[in-house]
This record gives sequence, structure tokens and C-alpha cells, in this order.
Amino acid sequence: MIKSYIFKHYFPAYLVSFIAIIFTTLPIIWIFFISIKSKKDSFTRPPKFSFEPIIDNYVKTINNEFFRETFFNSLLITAFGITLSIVIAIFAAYALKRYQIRFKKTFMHWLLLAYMLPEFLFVLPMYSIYQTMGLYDTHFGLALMYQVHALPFSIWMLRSFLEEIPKEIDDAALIDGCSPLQMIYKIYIPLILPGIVATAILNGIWMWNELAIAIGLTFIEAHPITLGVAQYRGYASKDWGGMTASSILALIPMIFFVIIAQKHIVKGLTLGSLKG
Amino acid sequence: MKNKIGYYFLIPTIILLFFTSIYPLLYSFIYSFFNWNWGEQKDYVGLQNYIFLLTDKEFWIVIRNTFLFASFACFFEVSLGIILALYIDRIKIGSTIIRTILLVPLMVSGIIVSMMSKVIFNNLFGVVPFYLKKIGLKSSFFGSSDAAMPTLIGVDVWWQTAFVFIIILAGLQSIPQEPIESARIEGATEWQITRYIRLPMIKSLVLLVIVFRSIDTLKIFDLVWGITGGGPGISTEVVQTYSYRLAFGFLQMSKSMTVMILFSSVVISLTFIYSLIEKRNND
Amino acid sequence: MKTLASIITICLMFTAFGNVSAMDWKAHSGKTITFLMSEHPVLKGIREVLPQFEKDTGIKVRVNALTEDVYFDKMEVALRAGKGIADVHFCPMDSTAFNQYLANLLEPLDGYIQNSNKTSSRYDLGDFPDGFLQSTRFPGGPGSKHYCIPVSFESYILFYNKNHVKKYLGGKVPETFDDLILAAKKVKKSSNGDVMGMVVRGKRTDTAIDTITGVVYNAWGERNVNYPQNIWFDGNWNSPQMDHPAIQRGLSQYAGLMSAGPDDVKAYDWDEAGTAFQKGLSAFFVDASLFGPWFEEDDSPSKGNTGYAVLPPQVKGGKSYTAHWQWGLGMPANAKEKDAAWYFIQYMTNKINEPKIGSFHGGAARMSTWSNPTYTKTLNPDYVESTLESMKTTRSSVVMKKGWSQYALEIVDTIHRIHGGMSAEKSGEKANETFNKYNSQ
Repeated sequence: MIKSYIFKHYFPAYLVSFIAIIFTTLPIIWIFFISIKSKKDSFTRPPKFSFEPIIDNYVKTINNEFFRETFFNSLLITAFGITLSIVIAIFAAYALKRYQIRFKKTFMHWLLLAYMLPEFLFVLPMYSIYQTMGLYDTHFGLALMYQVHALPFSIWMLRSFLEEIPKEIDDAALIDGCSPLQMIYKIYIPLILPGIVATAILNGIWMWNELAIAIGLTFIEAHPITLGVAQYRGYASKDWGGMTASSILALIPMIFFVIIAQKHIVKGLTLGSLKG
Repeated sequence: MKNKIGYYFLIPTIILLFFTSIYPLLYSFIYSFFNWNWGEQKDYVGLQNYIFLLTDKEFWIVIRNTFLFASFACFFEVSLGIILALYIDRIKIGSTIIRTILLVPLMVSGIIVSMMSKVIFNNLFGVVPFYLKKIGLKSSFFGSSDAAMPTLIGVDVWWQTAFVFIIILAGLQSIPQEPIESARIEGATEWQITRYIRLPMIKSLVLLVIVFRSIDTLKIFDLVWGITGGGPGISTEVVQTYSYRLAFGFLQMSKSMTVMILFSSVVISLTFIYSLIEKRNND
Repeated sequence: MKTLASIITICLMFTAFGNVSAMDWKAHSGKTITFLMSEHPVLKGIREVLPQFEKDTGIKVRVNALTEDVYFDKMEVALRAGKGIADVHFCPMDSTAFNQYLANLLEPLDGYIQNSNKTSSRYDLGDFPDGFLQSTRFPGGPGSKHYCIPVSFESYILFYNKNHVKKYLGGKVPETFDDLILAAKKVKKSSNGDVMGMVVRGKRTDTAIDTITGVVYNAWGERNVNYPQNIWFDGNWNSPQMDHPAIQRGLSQYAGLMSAGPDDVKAYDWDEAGTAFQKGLSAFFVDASLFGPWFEEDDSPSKGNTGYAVLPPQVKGGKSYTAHWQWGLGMPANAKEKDAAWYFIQYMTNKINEPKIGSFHGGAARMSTWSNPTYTKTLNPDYVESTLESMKTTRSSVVMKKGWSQYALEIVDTIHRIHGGMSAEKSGEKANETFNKYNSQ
């Protein structure tokens, strides 16, 4: 009796998981196959499943100066962006938690809007503003623009994590007489470090994968990796080897993150939403 | 007085967000009343852009496409995500691995998803059309103005369902188990438990997920730009790609900004409606 | 006295020979210029020649290459930037360049061409057919200046897959245009859809207008083509004639080509269509001549199996007509290093290097290049013959109108309506209405 219950209960769950996993991974695996196929093996009817793998496409892509440049551009931009967002958000989150801010509600609404509104609403004016200011096509300029999305998100996240801290620690710190800066640095940051890491990772993933803002505000110098992969849309779209190899290469840092930081990512996504 | 420090700490945020959101918003709003074309003309034309767009057949087709995409994509993602979460919630052994794997599509950049789709759905050599044709499903996918949008919706579902799944799963795993256990002892079926206990308890999470997905799908850009460019014809042109084309293709900056202002009012209204519902839920 | 005489004689000798030209290739050594370009066969050729250029002039070149549709967007950005981003750019010699000229974004080149300190005496601008140079001159008419130098041209011809033609059509290449459409449909039917009869651009984009113009000119025949209005308007911008019988015929024939093609032909741009033909999936392909060298590349299934012909005439034995379009090298008005930029343009388009670059795209613009073995020996002789033949009756597809791309898109829509079943007359009338609407905006 119990056995059939267990069967009825768990079997469908594993079946569904199995199907979901197949659907999820199949496209990526197929793309990987194409990236290791030679030219004549990749354009066949019917598609080939057994072939001799080659790494030429990867070698070609890694040797491609333009691709390498975009890869490093993305590293730079993401590093700038994460640093900026975390540093500024920590202070804001602390302020929101600790102090009575008169316009708190409006402020939170504004954060929500900045996060939700469509990118091009901001990008189109910034396109001409940035040109005047000399920020157009710069790594810093792009990292700056990314704050419109990353800052609200980071503030929510860090505030949620801060609110998990028991009140006793707050009170103890107050009695101690530390200055606010010391409190943040010595007490809060160490306490919510996992939360900071989660936020940084999620921000990083978003920035690494961003496209619309990058298209509008870069020309060539600061092209991130998303635009590097987008190169394969045109004349070069015949080059399936290059297209798929560059996609997989751009994907690797992210997959790496997911495996290592999976717990943090999940906690981050869910905490932010549970606390709203 | 002590509170002053709080305000100081907020200053960097306020400055940054003002620069990146309020300033461009005002800029867009003002220029939507001009006829700026990134060239010789920059004259005040009042409501001309608004009237032109609101009476333009093409604009309404773009709006229709956007809402069509958003509603279907959102519907499938939310339903599939919830269903998936309900099943995976039961699993104890191996759930971490399963969750990690299912999280992967979310980590893939929109442009990479686009490249993958172009290759997989390529009409001449793609693996999907080849096998579907064998079982009798003849479609041109991204090549046909009827099939392009459904195919795009399918791609987005592959891409973003994990978002719903992860959040709902976390919610399911944090609801108290006692009511469920008592219900089970009383002989309720799994479906009854889900319907009367689980789902009501995660109501606000479901609402949250619907809001996020609906606004994100309305804003879709990466997939459309990357795969179809708005085509065939105008069958997959959505608001953000339309705005991009107006600005960078036809250099009609003012008109493009008008599109974004109109569209943003929709997003703002949706956000407002959400907070109203949320408030009612909490009362 | 004697010394003075010697000095004068020596000076006279120098000026008489003029060979040690006043122009010094190394005059701008050490400078760096930026070349904004799209991914295109011409770029392949330029990349080959670039190291030698850098050696000969000491000028360093930064090549910024973008995928074609992004290139069109970014070109407009670069031309309008406050501080110059590009020194040389790839210039589409049609209404795009015309509109840029109107906005004062292009640098006139006459000052450089006619200056013997800047241009070698061997440059010989007259070596370019005047029909090609006409599209580089704005506003057109006397007193116009040149705003770019042609670097490649394409005329619209017929490609055919020899094996498929042998298998399904008994080796007979159709001799009239209507026969071509019928033959293509026959191939599609006989092969049960495995082989497409015909492949052409069917995508809804204004950039297909030049190929379309080629097919329509073939129906327009020996009637005059007047510029700037071209054939789409009767004498002035306010008299569109999209329902002219010859235009009806031409557009219907293009729609016919689409019908003989794959069911999803509307997803095909030149890229997809060319790839399909190159992989042997289609019997026929109608598009730009400069795809020829692509089909003869070493790892192309189409190598050695491709036939080239001018567009079949309307009647058997009649005259074939077509259109041509050009790319050029231009200089943005906001370029920072104008003289060095001119050296680059001059070098890449002179008699020595054009043949070398030309062997990558098969659309050399200079007459002398077509008799230069460096160029012709790299190309398939049938291709050379057909292209030269098409050059005899080709006319520029250019329409010099502000905002022309909107109208071009409407012409594509006119064909799509015919393809969808509407009569050519009705579709043409609708187009006239739309043109008038655009005129009034």
C-alpha cells in the first residue's frame, strides 16, 4: 500500500524532471555538437550524429582578436558595474533599514519604476547625452548606465538580507557607539557577506548577458561579448562553427557560476521576491 | 539630526538614479514634442508625433504583436513553471542537481539563445524542421509570418520558465508543512492539497511572478532583434525593436522617444495595478 | 651663365618628366586612420592588400568591421558624431549617400583628386566608366563634386546549377524570362521539392530594391531611364507610375521568381538565398554578379558547377537589360586625418591594387582591370563573360530622393502583394497612393 503511494507520488515527479532536463539541455548539447563539427559535417541533411570532432572552431574564435576584445570588455564592464552597484547599494540599504527616511515609500516606488521601465526609454536620450559628455562607447559609461537596473535590485536584495539580522545585534552595535561607517564595515558586511555575494553574482550575470543598452551606447571600443556574438547575424551567419563556438565560449563563465554559486543564486532570487 | 546621516547615505543612489532614469525620462518626454531627426531639424511640433503614432496602422500592429507575445509567453511560462515547481517540490533526492540543471537557460544571454534558435530552426539544415517535417509538421518557423511569432514564444518559454520555477519552488518549500500533513492524514488527495493549501499560500508569489514576466515579455528585445529582426514582414516587430529601428535605422529620434513614452505609460499602469492588488491581498 | 642654364635645364627635365611626382606616398607616415567597414568580400580583398599599404605609406589602419545591418546603423552614427570616429568608410552609392550629402556629412574629394601633391599622376579617374562615376557625383548635373570613389559594382545576373539544369531541363538554359519562371517551377515539381527551382531575395527589406530594379529594367527594355526619379516616377516626384505596364510586368516577373522558390522565400535575404544556391539546393539564383567568386571558392559545392548568364530577355533572341549598384570608399566630413584617409582611398582604388582586391569580389569598377590578367585569371571565364555582357546594357538603379528607403520598401510590398495574389495593376495603384502619402509627409 505504502509502496504504491510512494510510486504514485515520486514517479511522476522524476518523470517530469527527466523530461524537463532533456528539453532544457538538448538545445545546448546540440549547439555544442555543431561547434565541434567540421564544416562539411555541420551542413548536412539529415543532421549528423556521428562525426569526427574538431576543435578548430574554438581555436579560430579564441584567436579572433575582435572576440577576445569583446570578452575582456565584458569582464571590465561587469567588474565596474558590480563594484559600483554593491558599494552604493550597501549604503542605501543600510540607510533605509536604520534611519527614518521621510520619502521612503516614494523612493521605493521610484526604484521599482527604474527597474521595470523599458531600456530604450533611457538609452535613446543617453545616446545623445553620452556623446556630449564623452561617455559614449566607454566601459565606464556602460557600467554607469547598467546601474538603472542593478542599483534598485541590489538595494532590495541587500535590504532583505539586512532585515534578517536580529535586532539584538543592531542594539548592541548602537550601544557600542560605533560610527555608522564602522558599523557597516565591521558588523553588517561580514554578517551579510553571502547575501552580498549572491547579489554581486546575479548582477554580474545580468550585465554579462545584457544587449539592448550595449547596442545603444557602444560603438566599437566598448563592445561587450553579447555584441561579439551578435556579429554572426549577418554575412558571417554561414559560419555555424564560429557562431556556436563563440556562443559556448560566452556561456562558459555563466555555467561555471551556476555550478559553483547555485545555492547563492537561488537564495538571491527567492529572497528578493519573498520579501518583495 | 541623527537621521541626516541616513539621507547622506542615500545621496549617491539618488544622484546615480536621477542621472540614469529621471534625466533621460524628462529628455525623452520633452523631445517627444519635437521632430528631431539627429540632423538638421529640431522643431517643436506639439502632439504631432503622438497623433501620428496613435493613428498609424503599423504602430498598432506592433502593439498587437507585443501584447500577443507577452500574454502567451507569460501564460505558458507561469503555468509550466508552477507545474514544474509542484512536481520538483516532492523530490528530496537529487533535487539540487535537478534544480541546477534547470536553472541553466536563465544564465544564457538572449543573443546566444537567438543564435542557438537560428541554427536549430534553420529551414535548410536545422535539426528541428528536419525531424518535424518527417512527422508531417510542415512549417517554416521563423520564415513564415504565421509561424514566426509562435516559434519566438516557444523560445522564450524555453529561456525563462526557470525563473518562475525557481521562485515558486522556493515559495513551496518555505510554506509550513503542518497543514499539509494534517490534510494528508485526513485523506485529501495530492491535487486537493495543492489546490486548497499550497496555491493559496503562495498567492502573492504567483502574482509577483506574473508581474515580472508580463513586464519582461512586454519589453522583449534580444530575441526579436537577434533572430528575426522584426520579420518576416512586420509579424514579429515589437515595441522595443520598433523603437530601435525608428531611432537608429530611420534616425527619427523624436518619434522613437514618443513610442517609448507611450509604452512606458503602459508599464507604469501595470506596476500600479500590481501594487493595488498586492495591497488588497495584504488586507 | 652656364650654371644657371644647367640648373634651368635640370628643372625643366624634372617638370617635363614629372615622374618624380610631387606626391609623396610617405608624406603621412606615422599617422593612424580608422576604416569603418561592413563584413563584405571587398573587405577580404582590402585586408590582403593592407600590409603592403602600411609598408608603402607608413600609415597605420584600424579596421572596424561590423555585420552589414549593424554597419548601416553605425555608419550614420559615425558620420554625425561630434568628434570624428572614422576617416574612411564604405559608402553605399545610392540615396543613402545622397541623403548624407544633403546633410553635409561627406567630404568632397575633387580637391584631393585634382591636387598633384595628393594624387599620383597615374591615378586616372577617367578609367572608371562615367556611368559609375555619375552615382558618386552630387547633387548631379554640372558643377557636381565627387563624394566617393567606386570600389566595387554589381550587376544583376542569372546563376544556374549546371547539374540540376542537365537533370531536370535537359541541359537547356531558358531563353526568355517567362520561360525561366516556368522552368524553375518545373524543377521544383519534378524533384518533389527536394531541389528549389529558383532562389531569390524575398525578405521584406528596402535593400532588395536593386535586385528588383534589375529584373524590372529587363522588362522596361530600351525605354529611357531618367534620373534622379528613375522609372518609378513619370518626370517628377509627384507623378508615381507604379502601374506602368512595363513596371507591372517586371514586378510580376519578380513575384513569379518568388513563387518558383521555396515556400518560405519571404525569409530569404541575399545571404540565405546565396547559401542555398551555393550548397546546391537550387537550380537558379537571380542576384548580384559579385556572388560569383563566392560560388567558386574551394570548399563550395557549387565550384565548377555554376553557370552564368545575363537575365533572359523578354522575347527569344531579344536584348537583355539589367541594373547595377555600387559600393565606394568615402570620407566622412568629420574625419580627423583627411589627407591620410585620401591616401588610403587612392591606394585601394588605383590601377595596381584594384585588380588584387577585385579578385575577391569579382566586381571591379575600372575598365582597365577587366583586361588585367591579375584580376581576370582568378575568375571563372564564364562569369567574366556574362558580367561584361551585362555591363553593356546595365543602368544604375539609384534614385536620388530624400527618404527613398521608405518608397523602396513599398515597392517590395507591391511585389509581395502580387505574390499573394493581387493583380499587378491594383498593387501598382496602391503603391502610387502610398508614394503620394509619403510625398505629403
